[in-house]
Amino acid sequence: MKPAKKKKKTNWKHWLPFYLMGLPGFIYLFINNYMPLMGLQIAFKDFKYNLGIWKSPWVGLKNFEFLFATGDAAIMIRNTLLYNIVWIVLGIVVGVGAAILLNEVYNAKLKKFYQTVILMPYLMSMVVIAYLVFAYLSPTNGLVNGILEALGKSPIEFYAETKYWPFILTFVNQWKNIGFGMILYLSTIVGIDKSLYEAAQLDGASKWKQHRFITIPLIKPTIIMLFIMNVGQIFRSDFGLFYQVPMNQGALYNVTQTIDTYVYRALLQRNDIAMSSAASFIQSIVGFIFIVTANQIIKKYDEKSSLF
Amino acid sequence: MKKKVVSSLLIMTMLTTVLAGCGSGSKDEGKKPQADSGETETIAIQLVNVVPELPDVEAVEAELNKITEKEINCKVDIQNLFIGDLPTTTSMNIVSDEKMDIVAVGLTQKLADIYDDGILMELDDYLEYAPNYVAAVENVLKAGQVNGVQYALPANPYVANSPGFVYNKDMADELGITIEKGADLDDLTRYFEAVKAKDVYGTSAGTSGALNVHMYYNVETFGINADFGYIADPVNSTKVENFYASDLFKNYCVAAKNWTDNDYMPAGSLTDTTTPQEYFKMEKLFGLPTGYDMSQFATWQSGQSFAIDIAQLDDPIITTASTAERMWGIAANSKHPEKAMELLELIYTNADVANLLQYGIEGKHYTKVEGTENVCTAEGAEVGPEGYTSLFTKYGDPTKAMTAVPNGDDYLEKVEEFNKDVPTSKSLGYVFDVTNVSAEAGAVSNVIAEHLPRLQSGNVENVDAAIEEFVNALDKAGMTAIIEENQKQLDAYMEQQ
Repeated sequence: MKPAKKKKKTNWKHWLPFYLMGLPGFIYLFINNYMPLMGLQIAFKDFKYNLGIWKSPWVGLKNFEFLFATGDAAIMIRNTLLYNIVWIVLGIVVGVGAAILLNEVYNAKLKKFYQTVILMPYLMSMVVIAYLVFAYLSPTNGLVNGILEALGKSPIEFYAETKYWPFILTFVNQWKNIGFGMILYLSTIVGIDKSLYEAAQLDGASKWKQHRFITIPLIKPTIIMLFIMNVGQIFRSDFGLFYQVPMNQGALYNVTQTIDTYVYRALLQRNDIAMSSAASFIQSIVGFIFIVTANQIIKKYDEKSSLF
Repeated sequence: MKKKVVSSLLIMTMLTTVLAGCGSGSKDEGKKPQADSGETETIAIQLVNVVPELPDVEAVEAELNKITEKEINCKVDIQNLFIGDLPTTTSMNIVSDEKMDIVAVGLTQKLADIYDDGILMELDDYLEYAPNYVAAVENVLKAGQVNGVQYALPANPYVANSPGFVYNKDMADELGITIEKGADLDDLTRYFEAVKAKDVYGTSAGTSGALNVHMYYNVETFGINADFGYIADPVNSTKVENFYASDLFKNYCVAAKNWTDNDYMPAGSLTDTTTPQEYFKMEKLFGLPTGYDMSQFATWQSGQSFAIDIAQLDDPIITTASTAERMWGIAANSKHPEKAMELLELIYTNADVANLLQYGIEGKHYTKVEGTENVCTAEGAEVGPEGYTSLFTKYGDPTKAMTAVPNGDDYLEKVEEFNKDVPTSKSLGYVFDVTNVSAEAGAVSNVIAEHLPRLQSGNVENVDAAIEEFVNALDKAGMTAIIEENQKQLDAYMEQQ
């Protein structure tokens, strides 16, 4: 008796409609993400408008010099990296914490309400947020200074003192961005089988132990995925956050200058597209190196959780 | 079977939506260059305003075409631009080869920064098509040259400029203040003290992102905020120095701190997003520094509910900076540079063409002030400036074209008088090429952005210490290297003259 041979031929008729449905998305992805890659050569050229991308002359690495030539460069790189590292870690801790807490809320209406309220700042423009912060910290009409004066203390010049700003920027960044991560973690938590918690409770585990041994291990893949994605942005910064929120005050540059704001201020009067392309190119390269490295490290510890 | 129909319908809908989106994206109607033999070409010319749309542009074009078709066989296409869009629109139009001919140079970006980006056409071969215009601006022609190549033509030769202070004349009369010609910082301090009685600030430095102190003195600066150095006495010397290490700057900062401490300048101006110009309009400020020339009176008076006057703080000179602010260039992708030059010639020599471009149609957008020959006003016009206006671009010969209130018929003589025998900067026409010191230039821009606002608005504890810190930071960023390079290039330029 011959064993039944399994036909491994792909059933095109079955899959074709799905490929066609995905086609618009693929076309968009190709046009928006892959075709512009050839523009990367601008970073290595002396770009002239009348010659365009292809005919402008090559200048090698000259456009990259301005990022590393001076002492200011060290400050902006330090600021960018430190802020991003702290915020990645903080984002995970606060995001997971918020998701777990929100999941514990029994009242469905209140749950939806909190979810909306926490997510709303993510959808607001940074310019609006800059003015909200200004309403609190303004030297003349600010709420904080008003309270301080009512209590008899002297007002604080927030926009002239650097020491407050790491905390102010961290607070604003977390307030704005926590909603996004929280939603992702929440969607994973909701999918966890409730019987696990019941079994744990029967065994006498406290709430904290339940979360530590059930929830967190089970949402690990989501945490790792978000972590790797954020690590790819490690050399970038939110321009609105570092330029608008400190109201572009020179006194605060030491703690608010990042790569994006430095490049903006350096090239404002120069109209030099090639140099700003070079800066963006470096950011992408560094981000790429970080993502690949992080992924390799994670692969070593937990094969299934790595992104690729 | 039903599922297949539904899913194939779904696919069709999705595909059609994608294709519909990329349908009508192209705005270029493919204006191919006309045959050069006698066909009427259309020349585009830029008009720069604060509004992106003007309803009556086509009406003005129709009137213009009546003259231009007869005189030089061409039609005119007025391209109205919002000043904020000017730099990007101009450069992007070159890349996408949209129709552009005559472009405004110097309004938002210096010629020094754009001449080698491939935006402007070299004009040397076409100067012969505008003989009268070129002859008229001969004495300042160099300001539009870089390395001996002509890239732009000054809008007119009356470019003498001196530092000035515009102030609220009604308020001054009430308080019995007269600001004399040649007033200095101490005089201004006295006036501000008197103004305090009315609970109004003397002046304001605003957010101070840009250097405004050069409006108090006749110096030649390189770079928007003197990033690349300055020349203290441009008529007599070509020595490039660091502006921020100068006594000029220090004296101003001391005065500014004095004003802020005494509440003549608002202390919170650095984070205040309402501009000083708006405060001046609301009569919360007594005055502001400004450049002084004959055209400024009309510019400042328009839209104000009170009378203004401008005090002249020093004698006028002609510098590259004062000339290079208003120039006309021809776009690198222009198909008819000869005709464009002929149009520039026509604008300069024919007052009717200049008036149409500058003010619009008589009766509709302006009326002539009674009893005058050459003065126009928005009062009594059918539509007024909302229909057509030219805020930033100035067309034609100012001694031939009309002028606006509050000037009178004697404006034309005043302009000539103000520009008579005015000394010219020795380095007129010199443009600094920053390529060799790009990295330092970027670092210096950042240092200036960091320290200048506080010093210029008087928000520092100790002026001497702050300036020392500023100058040290500039040296660390490479200011000395930039100034050496600048001096080197300037000396080489002067040799060739």
